[in-house]
Amino acid sequence: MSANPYLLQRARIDWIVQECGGPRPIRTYTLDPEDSTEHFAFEPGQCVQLSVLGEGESFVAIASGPEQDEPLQVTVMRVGLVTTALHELNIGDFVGLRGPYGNGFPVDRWRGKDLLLIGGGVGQAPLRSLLHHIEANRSEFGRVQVFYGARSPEAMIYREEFAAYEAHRDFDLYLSIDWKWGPDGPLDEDACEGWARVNLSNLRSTRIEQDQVRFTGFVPQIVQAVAPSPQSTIAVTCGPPAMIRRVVEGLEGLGFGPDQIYTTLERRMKCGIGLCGRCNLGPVFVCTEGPVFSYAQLQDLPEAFA
Amino acid sequence: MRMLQAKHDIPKLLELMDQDRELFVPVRDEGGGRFARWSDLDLSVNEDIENTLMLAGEATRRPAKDQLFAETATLFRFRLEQGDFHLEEPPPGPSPRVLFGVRPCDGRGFQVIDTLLVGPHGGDTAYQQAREANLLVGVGCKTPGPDCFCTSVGGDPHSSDGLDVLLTDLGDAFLLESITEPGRDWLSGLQKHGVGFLHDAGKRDAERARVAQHEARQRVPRQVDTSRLPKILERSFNSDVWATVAPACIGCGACTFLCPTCRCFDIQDLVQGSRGARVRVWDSCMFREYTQEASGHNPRIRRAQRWRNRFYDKFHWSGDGRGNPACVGCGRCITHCPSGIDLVEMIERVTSAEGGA
Ligand code: SF4
Ligand code: SF4
Repeated sequence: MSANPYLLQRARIDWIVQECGGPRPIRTYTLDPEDSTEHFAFEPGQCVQLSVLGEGESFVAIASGPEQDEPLQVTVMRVGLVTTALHELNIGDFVGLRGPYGNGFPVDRWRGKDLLLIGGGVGQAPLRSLLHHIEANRSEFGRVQVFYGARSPEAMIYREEFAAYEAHRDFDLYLSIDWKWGPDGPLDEDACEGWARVNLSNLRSTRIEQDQVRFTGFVPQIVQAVAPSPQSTIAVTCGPPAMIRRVVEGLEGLGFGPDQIYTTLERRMKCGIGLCGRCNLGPVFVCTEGPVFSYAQLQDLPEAFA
Repeated sequence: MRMLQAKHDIPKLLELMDQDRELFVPVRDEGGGRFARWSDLDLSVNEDIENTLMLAGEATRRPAKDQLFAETATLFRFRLEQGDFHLEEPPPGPSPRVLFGVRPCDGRGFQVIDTLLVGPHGGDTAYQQAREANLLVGVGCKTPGPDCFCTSVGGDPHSSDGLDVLLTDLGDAFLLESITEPGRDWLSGLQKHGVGFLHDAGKRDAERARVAQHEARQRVPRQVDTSRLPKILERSFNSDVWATVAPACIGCGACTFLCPTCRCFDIQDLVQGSRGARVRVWDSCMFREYTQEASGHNPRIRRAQRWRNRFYDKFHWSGDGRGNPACVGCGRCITHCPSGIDLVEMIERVTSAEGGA
């Protein structure tokens, strides 16, 4: 008989960063797991079950990199009961922690390749973990292009980190904010000063200045405007389902094959360990065999795009 | 090991069974039958026993599953403090029990749940403990119920799969056969104390049992060809056939709660003052909330999608790990569906709609 898999350890909240406000605020929590005298080991893309005891659990992607010197971090948007309770906790309080769970990104298979990291909203969290891993092992990867979009400059998460990347040019960076919206659709103007719009009528012919980082447009549009080459390249995209769908369509148009495109799936989770039944794509559980899937895998799985 | 037990001595045998392990038996009640603790019943007269215990082949409405996979089970307990918490020592596991009178389909159901309640991070502890604590003594179905179709899904009214001991009704007596090692030990323990009414069975008794078993098999009322389902389901996910049940189904979940192989659950925290427990409670894939995400997104928003999911999970995605489907043909979801939706008919409908091409 195995040990009780639902048991959790205490983890102290060491730091909290308010990433953005609004009706669904996002915060990043730095956690100190009590039992881990050693480093809490995991792969980028893996998840943990966070508990606010008395409220329940939430299955969230790890946002920090896996390297020894990095503290464990998670980025949580306030959407349901548990995440609301989590947002009420303070530095020094304790949450419950179990994991890591899920498969993580197949990073070993990506070494030597060029990478596209395409994120939107709080979906950037697992990509941040991956990015930190790439940073720590920079020479093992080729060219790395990072796309990240949010509603507005204020709604962007990891702002300081992106500013540092922007200043140091560690990666090719493409940050974007949404169009301003008029009665007939997007207004063909820069949504904010310094955020240059893409060419709405013909994305591919957008003129992109050398060193230009800030754009007005939806993430899938920015990817089209930049038109990265599929040659020896892996694209990883995480974010809202609608964004992922359009990003994938665009990448296919650019010549990316289904085995070159990876994404993470969200489903309602309870147990997180493949027992309670609800996160299935046919016979596959997202919590244990995902959340990372290649587009090639998803094409064969029922309800993957439902 | 084979023993013979005259029917009129059954009360003595049950008393004996209740000595070392707590005994649970299937009793008839207004709710359609359930398993109850033997010591809570007050049955002394022989007739009482024949009428009250459900031993002939009619299934208890609530399957034996309930006894091992409880409606509510505690995963752990905790104490809350301001901004902090502590886990409490787990209570001792369940004490040894005998489940007497388990239907063979329910026995096979446990084999399905065994495969479902274990994953890469281990198995459900409460279930595994209950599984180990319970000796399963099955009784073959002399007269299968009106919606039984076990023989169509790899079962039999006298299947011993998943059971420790199997009883066969010989009219005036039961033949008791041990199936597993623990079953054998238990039977030989009974034999020591049951001198005078528990007898060694002879060759002739075994012969009679085989005849009785063969006859019972002929009495299984419903048959359906499931052999082509694996192939057919490979290409039927987008069939129109799923939409045909949705209008009738009221999404009550009875078909899943009463199913001996359904194990879906929810996890909830129950708190009273500063003490709390994290519990798992039955859930149902027939409920819309089951897959409802906090963001509002729901991958199985439509009833037809949920029905299709249940059907596929019974006949394509899950199984008993031995090549059989995850449906054991007990017929409960047919008998008790308030909308009269019939799984056997549904199998036929899927097969004829999609089987031709
Ligand atoms: S028992 Fe019948 S009505 Fe209720 S959910 Fe199942 S199929 Fe639908
Ligand atoms: S699906 Fe219906 S017939 Fe099959 S095992 Fe479950 S309740 Fe019994």
